Amino acid sequence: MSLVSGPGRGGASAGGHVPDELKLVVEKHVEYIQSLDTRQDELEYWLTEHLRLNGVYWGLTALHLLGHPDALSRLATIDFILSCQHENGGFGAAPGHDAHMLYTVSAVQILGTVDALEELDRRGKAGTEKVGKYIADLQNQETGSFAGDQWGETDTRFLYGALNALSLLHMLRLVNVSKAVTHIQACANFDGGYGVSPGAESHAGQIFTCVAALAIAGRLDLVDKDRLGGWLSERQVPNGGLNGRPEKVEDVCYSWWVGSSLAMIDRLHWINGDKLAQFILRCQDPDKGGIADRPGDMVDVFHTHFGIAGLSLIGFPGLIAVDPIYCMPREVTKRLLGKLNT
Amino acid sequence: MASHGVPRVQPATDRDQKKEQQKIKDYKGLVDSVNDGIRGCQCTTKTLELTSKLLKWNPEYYTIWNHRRLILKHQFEHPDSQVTNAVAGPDHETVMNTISDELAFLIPLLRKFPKCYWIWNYRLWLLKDSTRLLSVLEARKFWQQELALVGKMLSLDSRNFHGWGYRRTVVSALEGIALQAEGSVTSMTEIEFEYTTKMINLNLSNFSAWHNRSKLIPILLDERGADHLARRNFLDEELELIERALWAGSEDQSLWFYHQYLMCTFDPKYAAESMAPDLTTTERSTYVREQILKVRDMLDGAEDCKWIYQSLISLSILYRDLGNESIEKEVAIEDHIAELINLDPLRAGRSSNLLLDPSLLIMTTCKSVAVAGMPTYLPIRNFLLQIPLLKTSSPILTRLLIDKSGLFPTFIVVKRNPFEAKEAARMEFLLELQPDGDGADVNTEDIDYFSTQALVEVRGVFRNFRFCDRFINYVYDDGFIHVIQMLGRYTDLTDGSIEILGGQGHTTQKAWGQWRTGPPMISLSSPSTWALDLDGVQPRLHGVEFQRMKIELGSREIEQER
Ligand SMILES: [Zn+2]
Repeated sequence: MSLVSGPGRGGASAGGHVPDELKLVVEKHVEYIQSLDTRQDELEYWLTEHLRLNGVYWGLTALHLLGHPDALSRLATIDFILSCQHENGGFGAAPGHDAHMLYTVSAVQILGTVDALEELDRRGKAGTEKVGKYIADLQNQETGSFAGDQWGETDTRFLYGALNALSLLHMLRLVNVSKAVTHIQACANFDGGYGVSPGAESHAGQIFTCVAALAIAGRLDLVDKDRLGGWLSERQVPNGGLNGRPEKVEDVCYSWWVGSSLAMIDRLHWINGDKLAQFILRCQDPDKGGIADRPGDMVDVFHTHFGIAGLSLIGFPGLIAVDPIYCMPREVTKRLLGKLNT
Repeated sequence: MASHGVPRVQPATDRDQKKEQQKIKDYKGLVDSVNDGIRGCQCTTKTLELTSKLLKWNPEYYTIWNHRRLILKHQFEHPDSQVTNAVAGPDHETVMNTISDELAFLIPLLRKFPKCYWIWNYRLWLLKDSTRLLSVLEARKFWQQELALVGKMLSLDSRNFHGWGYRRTVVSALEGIALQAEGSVTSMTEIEFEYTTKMINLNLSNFSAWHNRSKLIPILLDERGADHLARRNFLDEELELIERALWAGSEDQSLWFYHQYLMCTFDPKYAAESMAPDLTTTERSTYVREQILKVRDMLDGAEDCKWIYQSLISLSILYRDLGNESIEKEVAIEDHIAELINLDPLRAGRSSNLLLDPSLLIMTTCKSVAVAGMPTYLPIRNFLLQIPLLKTSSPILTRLLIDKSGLFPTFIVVKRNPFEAKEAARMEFLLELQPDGDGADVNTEDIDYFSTQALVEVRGVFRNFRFCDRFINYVYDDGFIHVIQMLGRYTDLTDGSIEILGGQGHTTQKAWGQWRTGPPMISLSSPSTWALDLDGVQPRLHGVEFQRMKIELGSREIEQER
C-alpha cells in the first residue's frame, strides 16, 4: 500500500489569473489519494518506499478530514501497518525496513484513526505493551530527550512523537514526562520559539513538536505565548502563505506547523485565515487533485495532507475538525483519549 | 514523497516509459542484492560497495545507512584475520582509513542532497565512532576537518539549517572532555562569537547568525568573568551594532528580532537571563527611553515601516511597566497600534490584542482609535462579554457567558476546569457552548461542567451571538459585528474573585459571505478597534453607573466599587 508519490501540478494557472471564488476540489483530492497505490510502474513509487507508512498516515488523515473516511479499505490498511512491525514492537516504513520512532508513531496514529489499536494485541508481531516499551526505551534517562532509533539521533520531533503515541496508547507512565518537559525548555529561544535541540535556531516545524509535546504534558503554561505568537504570526507573507523561518519562502506544509502552534497557544487569529485559505487553494491541482508546496509545483500526499489539515484548522467549511495537537481528526482523538479516563 | 519546489513536468512518452521500466528493474535488483547481503550476514566489502551504489541513488533509504553501520561495526570489531594484532580491539589503521574513506564518500552526497537528514546522522555517527575508537589526537583531526567543511558549506548557503546545527554539534564535540588533549582549546566561544560577527557583516539578514550570537553571549560573558561594567559596555556595543544595522535595513525582521532580544535586558520578566542582569530600574528606564527616541527617529523617511511601530509599542509598554510616565503625550500608543493595523492588516488580530494590555486599558478613557469610514461612536446594541483566561495553567478556569434574564444578564461562571490541565489552553473560548437564536438559552450538553453561577450587574441586551468553534467569539446585528472582550484578573485565587479591568472591542462589517455554509466568522482584515475601560463603557451602556466591579465567584453576591 503506497500513498506517497504521484504526478500532478498545483494550481490551474501558475502566475496567471486566479479566480476569485476558489473551491476545494474534495472529490478530486479523494481520487488522487486513492490513485497513489496504483503507481507501481513509476520509479518514484519505488524510490519512496521509505515513506510508505507515513504516506498512509497522510493520505488516510486527509481522507478523514475531507469526510471520506471509507475511501481506503480499512482491512488493507490494518494489514499493511501490521506487516511493517518488528518483533521489538517498533515499526519500519515498509516491510523489511528498520524500526524507527517516526514510523512507529504513524502506525499508532493510523491504527487509532481506524479504531484498530486492539489489533496489536490480536495479531501484531508484538502487542501494545511492547510497542509502548519500544518507544519508551528510546528516552535518554539523563536528558529526557528521545532518540529516533538505536543509532541515537536526537531531535525534538522524536520526543513529540513519543508523547503523542504513548498518550494515545494510555502509556505515558512508561516515560519520564517531567524530564522530557525540562528538555523542551532547554530548546527554547529568546524569540519564544524552539529548536531541534538545545542551542538550535527556532523553526516552525520544531515549534509545533515542542508546543504539542508541552500540550500533551499539560505544561503549555511554560510557553511564552505572546512572544511566540508574535514570531509565528510574522511567518505569514503577503500572498497569505506561511514560511518556517524569517526570510524563507512560503510553503503549504507550514500552514500546519505554524497554524497548529498558533491554535495551541490560542493565537490563531493573529494571522489572516482567509488569505491563508486562498493560498492553500491556489496550490491545488484542480484537474487531478492533490496539493503542492506552492502554486504551480508538483503535488504530493504530504502537502495534500498538511494543506487540508491547515484548512480544517482555520475552520474551512465542509471539513472535519482537526486536533491541533495530534494532527488527527478531533473526533478520533476525543474517542481515543476519552478512553483514558474510563 | 514530500517534494519541494519541483515544477510540473510533461507527461511521459512511450520511450520514456520503457526507460522508466528498465530503471525500476535495475533499482529493485540493487535493493534485493543489498538486502540479500545483509540477511546472509555478509558484512563484506562487496556488500558495502553495493550499499554505496544504492545510497548514491537514494540516500533517503534509511535502512541502508543502518546496514552500512552494521558492516562497519563488524569490520571494526573483527579486524582482518591476516592482520595479527597483539592488542585486542579494533586495528587503528583500519579504523582510521575506513572512517576517512567514509567521510570522503559522503561529501558528494551532501553536496547533492544537503537537506537529507540521514546523511548528516550517518556522518555524525562516524565521527562519534572516531572519538570512541581512536586516540584523542587522531579523532580531533577528524572533528577539526569537519569545522572547516561546515564553514565552507555555510559560506555557500549562510542560512542552511543543518549547517548551523551541525556546526554547533562539532564545536561542542571539540570542546568536550573526550577530545581534550594537552594544549587544546577548551572553549571555542570567542571564536564562534567572532564567526557570527563575520557572517553578519557579510549579510545582515542572517537570522541564523543573530540567533547563534544570542546563544553565545551569556556563555562568553561568563567565561570572561565579566563584571557589571564590562557587561554594560558589551551591551552598549551590541546596541550600537544593531542600531547601525537597523538604519541600513529597517524592513529586515532578523534585525528586529535581535533588537527584541537586546530589549529583554531591560524587561524585568527576562532580565535575569540577559547579558546584564544587574541593571537598576532607573538604568533600565534610561535605556528604554533612549531606545524609544532612537526608534522614533527611524520613522523619518520610513513612515510605513510596521516594524518601527511594533517596536515603539512594546518599548512604550515596557517604559510604563518600569514605572514611568508616557514620554509622548501627544502620540498615544493606541495611535501606533492603529497605524500598525493599517500597515499590517495580515496581523491585525495580533495588534488588536495589544490593546488588551492592562496598563493600556487603565489609562484609556474611551478614546476611539478611528479607522477610516467607521463612526467614532459605535452604538453597541448587541454585544458579548467574555473574560479571557489569564492563567491558562490555573486549575480554575473562568468563563463568563451571558444569558438574558430580565434587566441583568446572567453570567455563567465556569469555575471548575472541566478538562485536564492540558485542555485548559484550548479553552480560551467557549468551544462547547452554542446558544441559539436570541441567546435566551444556553443549549448545550456541556452545561454540567459549569458548576457555579453568579449574577453580574451589567446592563445590556445580549442576543444573536454564537460561540465559534475556533477563532474569536462574535456577535452580530444588521450592519456590524461587534466583539467585546472584557479583561479580568484574579484578585484572590483562593476565593476565586476576579476584577474587571476593562476590555477591547472590534467592529467590522459583515464579512462572512464566502463562509455562508458555516457559522460566520469575523474577518479581521479591516476592523475598527478601540480600547475601553469601564469608565468608557459606561456611557455606552445606557448611562448605567458603575466603574469597577468585583464578581464573587461561587456566590450570588455582587460588589460594586464606586
Ligand atoms: Zn513543504
